Amino acid sequence: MIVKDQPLTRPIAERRGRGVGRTRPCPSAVWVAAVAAMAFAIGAPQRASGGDDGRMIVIKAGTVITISGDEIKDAVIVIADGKIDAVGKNVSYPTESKVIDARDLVVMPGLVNPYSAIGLSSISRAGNKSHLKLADAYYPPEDDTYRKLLEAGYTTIGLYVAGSGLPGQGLAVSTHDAKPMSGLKSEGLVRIAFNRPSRDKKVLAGALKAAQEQIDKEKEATSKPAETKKPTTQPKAKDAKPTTQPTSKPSTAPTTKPAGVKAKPKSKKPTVKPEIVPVIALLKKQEGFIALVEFSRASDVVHFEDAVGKHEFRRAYLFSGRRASDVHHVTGHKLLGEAKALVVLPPTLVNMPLTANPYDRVKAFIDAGCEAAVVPAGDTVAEHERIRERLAVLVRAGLDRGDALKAVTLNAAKVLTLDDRLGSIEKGKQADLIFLDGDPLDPFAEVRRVMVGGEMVLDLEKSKR
Amino acid sequence: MRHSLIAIAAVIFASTLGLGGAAFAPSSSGGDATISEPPATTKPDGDKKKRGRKGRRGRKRTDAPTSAPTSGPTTAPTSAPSSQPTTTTTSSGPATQPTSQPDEKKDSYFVLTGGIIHTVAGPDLQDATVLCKNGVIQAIGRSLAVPEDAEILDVSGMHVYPGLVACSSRGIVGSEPPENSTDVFGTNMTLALSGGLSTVVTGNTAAKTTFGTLEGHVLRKDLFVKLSFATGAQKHKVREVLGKVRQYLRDKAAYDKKKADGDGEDDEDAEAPDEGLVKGGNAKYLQLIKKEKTALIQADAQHDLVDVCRLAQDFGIRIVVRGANEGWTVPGLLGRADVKVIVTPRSLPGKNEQINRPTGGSIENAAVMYDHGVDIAVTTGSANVSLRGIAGRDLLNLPMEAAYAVRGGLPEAAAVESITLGAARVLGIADRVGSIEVGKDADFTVCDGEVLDFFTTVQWTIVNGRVAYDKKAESLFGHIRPRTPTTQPAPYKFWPRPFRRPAASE
Repeated sequence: MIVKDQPLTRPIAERRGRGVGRTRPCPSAVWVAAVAAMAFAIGAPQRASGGDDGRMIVIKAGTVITISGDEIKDAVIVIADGKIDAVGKNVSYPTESKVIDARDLVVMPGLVNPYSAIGLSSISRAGNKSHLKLADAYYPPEDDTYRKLLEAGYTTIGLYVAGSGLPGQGLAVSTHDAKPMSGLKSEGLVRIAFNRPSRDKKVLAGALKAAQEQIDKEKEATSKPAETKKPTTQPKAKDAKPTTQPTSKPSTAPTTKPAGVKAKPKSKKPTVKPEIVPVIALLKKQEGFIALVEFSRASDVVHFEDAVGKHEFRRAYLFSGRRASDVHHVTGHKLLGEAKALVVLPPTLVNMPLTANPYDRVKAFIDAGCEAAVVPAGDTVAEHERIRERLAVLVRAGLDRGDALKAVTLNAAKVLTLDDRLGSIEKGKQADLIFLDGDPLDPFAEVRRVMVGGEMVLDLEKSKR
Repeated sequence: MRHSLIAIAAVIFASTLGLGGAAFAPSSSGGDATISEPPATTKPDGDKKKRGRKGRRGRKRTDAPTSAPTSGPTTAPTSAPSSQPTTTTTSSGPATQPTSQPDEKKDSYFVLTGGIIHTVAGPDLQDATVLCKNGVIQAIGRSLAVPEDAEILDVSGMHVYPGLVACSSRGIVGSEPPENSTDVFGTNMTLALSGGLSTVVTGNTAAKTTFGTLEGHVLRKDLFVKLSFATGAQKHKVREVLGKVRQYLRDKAAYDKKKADGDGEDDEDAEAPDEGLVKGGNAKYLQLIKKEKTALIQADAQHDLVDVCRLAQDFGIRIVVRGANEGWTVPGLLGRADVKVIVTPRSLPGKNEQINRPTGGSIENAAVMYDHGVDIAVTTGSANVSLRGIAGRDLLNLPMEAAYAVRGGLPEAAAVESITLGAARVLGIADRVGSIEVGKDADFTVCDGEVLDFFTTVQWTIVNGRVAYDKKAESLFGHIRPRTPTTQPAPYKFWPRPFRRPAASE
């Protein structure tokens, strides 16, 4: 299933054979030529559906839930080139646009599941295997799992390999066409399983230490390129020892010792261990790299703080499992509430430990200052289908409706660092939309249509009911 | 010893200058009852002598307010080894104000006021104030100047004890190494705190019940060298290896001496002793012989205890015995061999009728051993905390275990000591915990009565100068005899709770 000869990160519009025509007043001759050229160059078959004829798509919606802004009644969404071009009540569009009538429907962004292993084979890794990418060994399920997720409203899922420590990098796929090169994300989603500190603390601390050492080494090498040769040329001569040490001292005082020691193996071409590379990217805050840290209970946060120390990197925190009922202890923790962290939670009410008092973890974290994303309560198709129902329960218990919807769209996309492309209806975002025949939190509402990248991939004529 | 003498000298010097010797604040000068220095008349003695002076029957309580510095507790921990330079410096007066270091963290102050302070190391103090800085006790006394940003806990009318020490535990903190596995928000930790425990042993590590944080969690690692010393073969092996190691040390000393003398010709003949003897598995025996470590041996029967005592005396090693059910039959031997014991007073195995000597357990076990000068730590029958099982025999009820020894004749003060300072001494951590003294960790168990009373509940547990447990705030026991405002007298025993129906007329 893996097509190796294609680049992994190609813009989605390009791949779909719909290309240029970004601005509305585009001369038609130019874009026809451009599309033809593009299609020729890539050799990708053009699709018959959607806006492949180059016309803009205009959705006339009964209600638009934009997530990033207000809900708009009787609004119009203009889509060009698979991306949202405009949204609002009074938006002008060319008369030749293809109009989709959804005046009896509610339109909102496609749902995003930031953490799942659904449909994956049961691989489990231990230790630091962060260099292994799921995209390199990804086989989409051959049954109708993804189709069902799509029907539930999920257009994007983040997939991760199970295991402890740093089991590898995840993958963000579209449930519509599940390919690793669907252009979403195949690199940089580093999973850190930290649900058993007695096992994972050492792995994480070791990886961070090794990565930091490597970074320091690189820094030193760039800061004094001329002097690095000296210790390598005369390491054997006993008299050389006192001379080499002082030379290395003036540059940077605290890091001289490890440099002096490690100067010798440098002659043998130092190689960076591959599993350290993603950790280095994290520590260097490289674009697109984010760690998803998985906790099972409140205590793990304290241990994580202990293991990470002063290292900083972009990360989201996931509380999974039933034991995470004591997280009220840490909502305001230095790493969470105080840092306005991004926290991923299942949408279930749990009881305070030793009591029968249920509380809403999502609300607790939001109240403490965090941003909350929500994953289905279990990694099953049924829980994906139940997600809006679960959210409704939380909203009834006091969670803000806007926060609830944001948690399954924009904030969930943030966990995959795709929030610049997915998760809301605003200009420039990918046109991943779902059309419901009622309010999303209404238990009787159903997903009737799904659009991915401006292409209508699901269209149910009738209600399933 | 030397440090304590220096401290005393410093205090005498300070008081002659009229500095008042206030440990923390210079403002409390003059006749104020600042009792944070050791009394000049008291010479810090060994633990044994001190106890003898204190008397065996009951505890001495200074009911009269302590107005003179001379009645204060000895602040320099009597059992503290010389590895505590801060102790002497803090108590030596204003000359050593905390030097302002380039602090990354602001100093945190914690103050307990109004309680009855059971120092364990000295007399009880009515209505005294304890000032702690960064988790360490800095001053004890009256009219202490308290920093403005200090966290003050008013415990008027409450009894303040040092945090209790559990000599073995299961499930309270994580298994070894605890700093990687403790559930710092765990229910079991809260339960342990509700029992007043501030220090527990897991595996071979002493750890604090630091709720919600790992800061200062591990107190000390590698407490003991555990020896299997039950069967004849095991006893033989232990003695054999110890003998070899001792012989190695003698040979090594002789060899080194010879080398140092430097006769020259004889050196070739001399053969250095085989270092392999004290490496690998034997390294721990070397530590025992050198008295760097203490051995921990499980032994209950009389003949086992006798063998343990012989081992201690023959090789001059330090031994702690866990169990010692029949210790009351050979108390003098244990005392002379300086073997410390961890006992469970309510562990009372039946006697063996086939042997014509005293056997089995005795309610007087702890008392008899104590009378013979044996250092005693008390621990419960089961090492976990539990709300089920045999009621009252888990670590939630550690004071009850000690109280049972009082029933068998142990003085009350000794019983309290056996779950605080005595236990700390047995574990080798008495320089940090076990008593309320300047320089020790700020661990307190605040009770609404005397800790050995069955009626007493723990109201607060303070670990490292932080309130780790507040009975009122937790859902566990807050509803049982709810805490009254400290201005009112504590309600006397009203258990069971009145369960009244409203009268029909109401």
